[in-house]
Order: sequence, then structure tokens, then C-alpha cells
Amino acid sequence: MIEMQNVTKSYGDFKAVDNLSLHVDRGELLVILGPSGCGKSTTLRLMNKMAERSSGTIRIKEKEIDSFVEEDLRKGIGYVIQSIGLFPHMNVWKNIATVPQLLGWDESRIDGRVQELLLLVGLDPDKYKYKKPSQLSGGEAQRVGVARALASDPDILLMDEPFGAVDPINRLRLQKEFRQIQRRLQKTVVFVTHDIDEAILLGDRICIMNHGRVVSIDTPEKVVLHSEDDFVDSFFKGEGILTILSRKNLGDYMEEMPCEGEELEEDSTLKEALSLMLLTGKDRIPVRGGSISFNRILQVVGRDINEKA
Amino acid sequence: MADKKDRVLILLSALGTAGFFLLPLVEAKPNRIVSGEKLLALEYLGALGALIIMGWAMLMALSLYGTKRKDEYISIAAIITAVGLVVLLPIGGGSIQEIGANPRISFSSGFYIQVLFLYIILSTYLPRAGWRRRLKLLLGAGALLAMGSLIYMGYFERLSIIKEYGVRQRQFYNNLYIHGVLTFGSVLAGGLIAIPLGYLAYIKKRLEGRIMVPLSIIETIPSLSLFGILLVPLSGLGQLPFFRAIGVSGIGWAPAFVALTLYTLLPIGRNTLTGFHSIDKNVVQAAKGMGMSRGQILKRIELPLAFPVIFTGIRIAFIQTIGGAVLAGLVGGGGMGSFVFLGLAEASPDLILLGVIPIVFFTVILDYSLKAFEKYVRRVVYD
Repeated sequence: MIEMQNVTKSYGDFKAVDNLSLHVDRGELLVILGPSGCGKSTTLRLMNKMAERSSGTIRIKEKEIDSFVEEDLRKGIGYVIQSIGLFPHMNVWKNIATVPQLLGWDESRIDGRVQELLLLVGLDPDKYKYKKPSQLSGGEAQRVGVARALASDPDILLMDEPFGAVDPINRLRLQKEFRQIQRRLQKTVVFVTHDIDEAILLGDRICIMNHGRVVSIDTPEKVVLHSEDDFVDSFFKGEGILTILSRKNLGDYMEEMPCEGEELEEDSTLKEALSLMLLTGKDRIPVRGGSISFNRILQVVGRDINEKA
Repeated sequence: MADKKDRVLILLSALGTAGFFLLPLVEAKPNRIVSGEKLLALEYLGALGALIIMGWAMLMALSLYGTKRKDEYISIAAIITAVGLVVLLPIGGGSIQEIGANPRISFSSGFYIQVLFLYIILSTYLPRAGWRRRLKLLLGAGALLAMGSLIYMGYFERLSIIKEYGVRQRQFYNNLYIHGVLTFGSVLAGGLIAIPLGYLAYIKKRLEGRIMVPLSIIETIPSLSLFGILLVPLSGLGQLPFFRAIGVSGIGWAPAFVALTLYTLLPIGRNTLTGFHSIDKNVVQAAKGMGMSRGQILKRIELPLAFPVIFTGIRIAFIQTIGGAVLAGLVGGGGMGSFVFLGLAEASPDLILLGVIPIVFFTVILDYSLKAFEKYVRRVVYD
């Protein structure tokens, strides 16, 4: 869906993006992770021409990026930025309707779409449709921002630290909800963040950047557990394994053996199961329709660890 | 509640009372030419003066013994005193008959002093009285209506300002009309020039200084010098047939219009620039990222968001121009300034007042309504 080859973006002598190549497959969520100033946001902005590359080729949907009219390219790509940038003088409905209106959809189709999107991001349409951005909490505003980016049902979604300005509790909730949404919609997403947990939780693949270059790009398991790069290792400080467990749904690993006690939901994560085990001192805890054991978790981790990079 | 005395009100009402007793309330002339006689309030009003004394005494008493609804009572007392002053003024009572069959009454220092202190008292205590906005509006409108009909019915005809008005009625409305056209025309022209200039300064950072500095310089040129500067080019322009046909020349409405327009450029241009700068850059980024063209961003995002601030600039320009347009009288451009400068030449304060009072009146009305509209716009745009 997105392909960058030997792309460089320089500001004077400074190379914000330095001879970078990567590709994003259809339906894949690629996280670009790195310290501030590593060029990750610039890389993202190159993909919808918010920044103009200095050299190299970029292909979007198999087409050379310069063959698009800039505005049309952007209308076909959802874009969410950290500060959201909701239009303060428009209510939620009008904010979400912006791109459909630019595309000339008729009113009833837009209304249906807004309804659908608000439900998707977990906001009651009747309650929120006519609110102004100033009446929304940070989390609500962020949901509206995501809904707005999805408005014209674009194949590609570019997200620049979308949950960065939200408090930690709401952030985790938004991340989990977004993961659910992404599982359903299967968009091609490029997601920029400097939050390691967020990257591991959400990414199908993680691209780690430093000084405008790709240091490592692979699945979270491989990047976290099998990196041979000192910079990548220093990034995770050995704690990545716990976050890896938060990627894994209980439903995928539970055993049928029944067990007494309060049940966890199927869509809880292995990390939550492990925490509960540590808290209760039990090595097997019930999940709706079965149970999961400490050994099973070790097995999963072991498989990831022993897998060849 | 240890000290119920209201020291501010004691001072204000004492000064007002002193104004009543010690300063001449009016100047009475037998006719327009003969110099008049200054009369103290007690001499002029005679026994009727007791009504005004009672008003000041009420205020004084309220300043010493505060009650629960003090602010409200003070406001009422001040309003009564003010109404009494205005209503009694043309009646007189005391020595008025000695002056002549058709005396001309003009305000004197005692009247101004009392009005001033009543105004200070009202502007201090009325907002605290907790009256509803609607009631205050109704009171204001009622007062205006009452004044208007009293003037219309000839109640104030002894006042020399009304006499001047009576003599120059046609001129008055003509000048009022010219004044209004000059004001609205200049602000409109200023807006048409300054808003694009402000926008240009916003999108082209390089040009900001080159645009804003000249506007500031224009603002510092004294109006008289500006008329002098405009004299030559405008009389040159007046030689051309088209401009001669619409009456452009070195004097008259043209230099006044050009000067007033030039003076509106800074407030409107500066506020336009500030308005655009005050927009959250992320909002513009988001709009661009969603595929809006430059024109769509301007129309749908930037202009609506900057409009309240731009409108503040327009309001300031209006207030400044409605007063500034007096100077049109200096170059034969007409407007209320004609009365002012004629009054200055003839040493006739009443004629000056005839020019100034309507300006003050319309300034207040305009400022009030534009502010209300601005508040409404801000609410619609920002909340």
C-alpha cells in the first residue's frame, strides 16, 4: 500500500529522514517508534505530502505519489495528529463531516456515516453530535479525531502520536479500543509514537528509527526479544516481554480445563492473567469457557524467545 | 458591618452637592448676542431647587446609613436626581422671568459637575444593584424615548442648544447624514483595504513589517497635516473628468474620506493579523492534512476563527471614525464638525454642543450594539 525507497528529507544540511526505505502492506499496522527528533513524524508527513521529500520515491496504492493531486491524495488518507486539531468553531457532526463534504457526499449519507462512526469510537451520537470541541474531554476529543480521520472510509490511516496528549488511564483504554477497531476495519495504518508499550500493544510490525534512519523493522516479538542492535536493546531495557504479553488475547491461548474462581474475559490479555496469578498466588486461573496456567504462559513466552530472529 | 459609612459615596455626593450650591447651574441670556448672566441653582430654580437638594440629601444619607439593598437605593436616588435636573432645567422658577420674554438657557459648570458625579455614582452602583439586563435596557430605552418626545413637544425650547437646533434643523439632519455616510463609508473602505492587507501580512511573513509599519506611521500623522498632504494630490485628481464629476477636490468630503479611511487601516489591519495569528496552528495543519485547498482553509477555517478579532478591529475603527469625522468640518466636508468649528469661530458653546452631543450619543449606541454583536459572534464561534 505504501512504499518508500531511498527517501531523504533534508532541511538545509540537516537530514531529518536519511535514505529511508520501508513498505507497509495492505491491512497492516506499522508503528514507527523512536526518540523525539528521530524523523518519525517527518516520515509520516512525507506519506501525505504534508512534507515534500528531497529525494527518493514514494508509492501510495501502487502509484507514484507525485501523480496524485495533493488535495485528492490527502482526502483519501485519514490523518490524526497529537493535538487532534478539531475545528473549534464546528460541532462534532461538522468536524466529522468535513472530508465527506469536501467529497460532495449528500447530506443523508453524511449523517448516516457520522452516526456510524460515533458508535464505532464509542460515543453516543445523540449526545455528542452537536457538542462543540470545547465541551469534550481529552479522550472524547481524541475519539472524535479518529472518527473524523475515518470519515470517508480511507484505506490508509496516518496517526501521529494520536494518544500522546491523553492521560495514562484513558490512553490505555483508547489504545485497546483502537486495537479492536483496527481488527474490524483492517485499515493500512502507519502509527507514530515514542511510547514503547503503545508500539508493542498495537503494532503488527515495529519500525525503530534513530537519526532519520531505520534501525530495525520487524514484528514486536522479534524486535523486542531478538534484536542485535544496542540502540534497540537500550530502548526496551528488558521490560518489553511484559508488554509482548499484553498483545496476546487470552482467548487464543486458553485451555479447556475448567477451574474454580472469578473468570477473566476472553479478550483479556496474557499480561492481565499473569498479574492476577502474581496477585492471587495461584498458577491456574479461570477464563470464560476454560482456564489458563502459568506454564502455558511460560510456554508462549518461551516460543517467542526461542524463535530464530 | 462595623463601619456602615460608604466613604466613596460621601465624597461623590458631597462634591455633587457642592456643585449644586456653589457653582452656577445655567447661563441665561435675553437673546443670542448679549452676554448672559450666570445663575446659581437656587437663584435659577428657586423653590423647585428643593427637589434636587432632596436627591443629593438622599444619596448623602445612603452613604452614611447603609441598608441591605443599598446599591439599589443609591441607583434609584441618583436616577431621580438626574431626571429632576433635566426636567427642571427648562422650567426655572426663581429669577428667570426677569431676564426677558424669551430667555436662552445654556448649561453652566454647576450642571456639568452634578451630571458628572451622578454619572460616576450610577456607573459604580448600578452594576452592583443586580437589576436584570432587560430592565436596564428598558430603562435606557424609556429614558431615550422620553427625552426624544420632550424635545419633540418643545419642552426644552428655552435651552439655547435646542434653539440652535430649531434654527438649523435642516442643516442638522443634513450634517448628521453626511457624518454617518462619512463614518460608514470610511470604515467600509478601510475594511476592504485593511483585511486583505492583514491577511497578506499573515501568509507572507516577509511582508509583515512592510505592511504594518506604514499603517502605524499613518496613524501617527496629525489629521491637520494629513489634510495638508492630501490637498495637492486630491486637487490634481479633481482635474480628471470622472473625479471632478463625483466632487473630488483638495477640500470637501474627499480629503476627509481619504484621511478617515487611512486612519482605520491600522486598527483593522492589526486586528486582522492578530486574528489570523491567534488560530491554533494545529487546526490549520489538520485542515490541510484532510485535503482542504488553501482557499477552503481560508473560507471554512481561518476566516471564521479570526472573524471575532477582526470584528473588534472594525468596532474600534468605527468608534474612532465617528469622532474623527468631526474634522471633516475643518475642510468643508460637512458633518457634525461644521457646527463644532462654526461654534468655535463664533465663540458659541451651544453650537459646539449641538455638534458634539449627537456624536457622543451615537458613539455610545454604536459601541454598545457592536459589542453586543461581538459577544454573540464570539459565543457562536468559540464555544
